[in-house]
Amino acid sequence: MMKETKIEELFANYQPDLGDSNAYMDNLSKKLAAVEYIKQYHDEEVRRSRRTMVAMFVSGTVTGFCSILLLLLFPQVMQPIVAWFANLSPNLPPMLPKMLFILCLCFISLCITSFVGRISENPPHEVARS
Amino acid sequence: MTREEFIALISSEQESLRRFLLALCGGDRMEAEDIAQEAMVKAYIASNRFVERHKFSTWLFTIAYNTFLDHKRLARNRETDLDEATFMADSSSADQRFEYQELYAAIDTLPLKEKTAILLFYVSGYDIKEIAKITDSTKIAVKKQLSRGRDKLREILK
Repeated sequence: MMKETKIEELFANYQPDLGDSNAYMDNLSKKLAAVEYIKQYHDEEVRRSRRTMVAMFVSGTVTGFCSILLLLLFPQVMQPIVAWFANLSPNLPPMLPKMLFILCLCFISLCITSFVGRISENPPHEVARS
Repeated sequence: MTREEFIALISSEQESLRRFLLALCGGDRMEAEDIAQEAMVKAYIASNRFVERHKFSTWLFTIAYNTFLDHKRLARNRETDLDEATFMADSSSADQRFEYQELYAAIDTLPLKEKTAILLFYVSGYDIKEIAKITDSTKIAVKKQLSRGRDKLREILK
């Protein structure tokens, strides 16, 4: 029991000088303000990348859907371009001009999607503000 | 939780936390202050994840204890004599260390888990359930650590 008291005494007197508490808290709140600034910047970046991802997904889906619709509903649109490709070289395999046309459509869709992504990443009003 | 709310909560706990860390670091004030600051910044970053039904101080001490463990792990990886030299040059730290030499010497003989349990119990006044939460152990394990720690301290204080 006496030994137990001795242990308690050992810790009861433990009151080390920790310096000025107010100065410590001032220093800490300055650090937290800096952290908050970084946190806000990080949160904004996350929001921005999420917005871009959604915009690119939507525009990719829409342009892809429109391309397929164009090919299925208006095959005559393809005819002059396919004929032009075929005229370039008569030795081309018959499927190649059609494939090239579809590839062109894919490329245009990709361009539109990346343009929409870029716009949503840096909206004109935010660029003007910065 | 806003910054003001967090600071209000922290200001009532910071002294107790720093005292605990100072003892855990064996009186190395610079290391203890570094860990305390890092733990508080970590707590602030994670403050959105703090669940109100938990006790704030227990949550804060858990973060501080884990930060201490991270520091120890890092220090083991790049152990140099330079830190010791810096420590010796800091006279205020040396004075502090001297003042509580007996306590630090006694505590330093204990393994980390026993040391932590003893300090949380005697210096910070936590009960066994809270110590178990902070150190991520079971209540039985904490009871054993406390008992073993007390036995060793008794031997030293003879």
